[in-house]
Amino acid sequence: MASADTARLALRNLRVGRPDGTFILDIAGLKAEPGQCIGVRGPSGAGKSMLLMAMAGLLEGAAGDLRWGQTDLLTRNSGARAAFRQTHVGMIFQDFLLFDELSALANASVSLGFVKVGDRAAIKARAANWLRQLGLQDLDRPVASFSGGERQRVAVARALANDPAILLADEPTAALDWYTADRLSTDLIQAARSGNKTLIAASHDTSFLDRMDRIITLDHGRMVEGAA
Amino acid sequence: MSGWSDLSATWQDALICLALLGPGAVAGSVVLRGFAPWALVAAFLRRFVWTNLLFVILIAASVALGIGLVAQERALRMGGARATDKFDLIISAPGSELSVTLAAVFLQPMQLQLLDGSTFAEIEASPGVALAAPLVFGDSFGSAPIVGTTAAFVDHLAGPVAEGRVWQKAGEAIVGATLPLTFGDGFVPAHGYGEAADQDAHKGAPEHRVVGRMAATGTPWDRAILLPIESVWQVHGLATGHAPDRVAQMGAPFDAAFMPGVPVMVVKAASLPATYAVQSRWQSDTRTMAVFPGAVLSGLYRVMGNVRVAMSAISSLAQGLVAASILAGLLILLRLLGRQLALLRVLGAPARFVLAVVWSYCALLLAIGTLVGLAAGVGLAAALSNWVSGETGVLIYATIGWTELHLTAGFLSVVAALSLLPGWVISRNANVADLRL
Repeated sequence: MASADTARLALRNLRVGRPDGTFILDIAGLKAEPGQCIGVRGPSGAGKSMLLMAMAGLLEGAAGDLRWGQTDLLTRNSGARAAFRQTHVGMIFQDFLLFDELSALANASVSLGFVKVGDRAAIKARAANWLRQLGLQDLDRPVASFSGGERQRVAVARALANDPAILLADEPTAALDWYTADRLSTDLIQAARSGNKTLIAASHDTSFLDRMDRIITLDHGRMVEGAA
Repeated sequence: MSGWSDLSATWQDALICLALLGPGAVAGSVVLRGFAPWALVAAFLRRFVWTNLLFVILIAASVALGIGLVAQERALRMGGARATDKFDLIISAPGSELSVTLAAVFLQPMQLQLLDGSTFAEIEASPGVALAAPLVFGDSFGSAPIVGTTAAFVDHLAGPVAEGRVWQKAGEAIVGATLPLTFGDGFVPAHGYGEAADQDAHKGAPEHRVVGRMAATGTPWDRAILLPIESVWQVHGLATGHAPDRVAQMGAPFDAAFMPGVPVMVVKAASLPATYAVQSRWQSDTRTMAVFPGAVLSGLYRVMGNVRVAMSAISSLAQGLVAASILAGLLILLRLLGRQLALLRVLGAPARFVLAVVWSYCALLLAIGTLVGLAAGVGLAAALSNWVSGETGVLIYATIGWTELHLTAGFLSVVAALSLLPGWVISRNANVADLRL
């Protein structure tokens, strides 16, 4: 569930190394407040996706100090980090990563399969609610028949279904046409701000980035602009 | 274990079945505890529908073959045992017990030595003998073997005739229950059997006419033609077994001096002890051999029993190999879903959930294949039974018994355990490397 404190990011000396001793990612510091939307930009290979993975606790080799609220994510084991993501993190991907054979609602509430039984009804209700808020009506239709924009909205509803404090999005508008991308950006930013969630999105989409509260720029794994 | 032995066989079999299912059920409940992977499993089933169907067919075919063969083998044994029911004791000249049994019970063409008339008379007069029926073979009509015997044996074998009447004179015949000859049909026997039969050997002999039909016995005798033994001897130009002044007589008593010799005598004693006494008496006589057909078949089945064990083992091994191949195929297939499975981890699913999804998918496919195979095995066994019955005349009913259910239950547990393997491999490897965040 979203909690204002969990949405507060404090990151220091985050490093992901290579076997040769150099670093793929080397971020000296980054902070974010609940409700804040941060855009991450940089050339391909700059480490944007790597940064998002590290923030989600998905990189085994990441070192440093990465705190979401009181949670020091990098000191936790893999199971505990997965449990943290399950409760507090929503993730959105460029290519949606949906199960084509499942309906919009089943995709948006795919976490029903592994969350506690007591949480399932609420997650399903929230997933349906978000799908409708994002403009999708036929929730039982398999997503294979959906357009790219509709599929990305299903992916956004999936990210929001567990009411996370943190939203991490990687190129969420890259596969969409201008109009759909604009609408999706609006929905995503609105969802973050209205829910007091921290949104961190890597993107090349300038119109999307322009609407963020802050933009950071990465190059060769280092933050070259926008450090706080 | 007195509690166990107090249980009925059905209860014991049912409990064994449950025990065999147990490991699979335990594996499933441990893997699935707290999870609901079925929506994703349904998605996988739909995603690879044709491949899944192929896998189900493969596993079903391997299970059906195994089950069908085991059921068929048992049915053959039971059918064979049923066929010997009316042949308590067979006495013949010394030779092969198996040949005598095959000739008398299954009407297979065999080269047999003859008992002379005096030996026949001695056997017939032995204490405790209630029926001593001679059987003579060697002729045929079409595909039907012709057997010469007595009316008393017809009654012993099948009871009162189902239609028509028993022969009253030479030249009359009774046909087996399934033989396509009708009353009044006439025929001249050929000498020998099948393609080697000499159709003209008895040319000029009077035609035989069908006057009755035996009740069904479920044995090769249902496809035979039975003649008075006197007719058979007569057709061959031999004495009829009776003195010239009693040449019209049918059946016992025979006159030893006028008996051409018989290859087989079917003996029915008045009691079980008498049966053993007669067998002992004539087994020890150098002129004869006294055979229990049931014992001959038992000996044969003992040998076949080893074959059955080997056959079952090979069949189980084949099923295991098919299952393992399918699991390897599924592993490759699931690699195509690597990103979606990694996504589950990104969404916070425990590794055990990924294992549960993959295990459920694999185990479900294999379980469906196994159950379809069980049903197909029933059909296969029935088809094989029909075919074997048609070929041998021995009525065979192959049914699915506890043995097959035990095999199926055991196999289900094995596939449940084997399915853990792809689950474990995929859940270990489902990581963010598969994703481009």
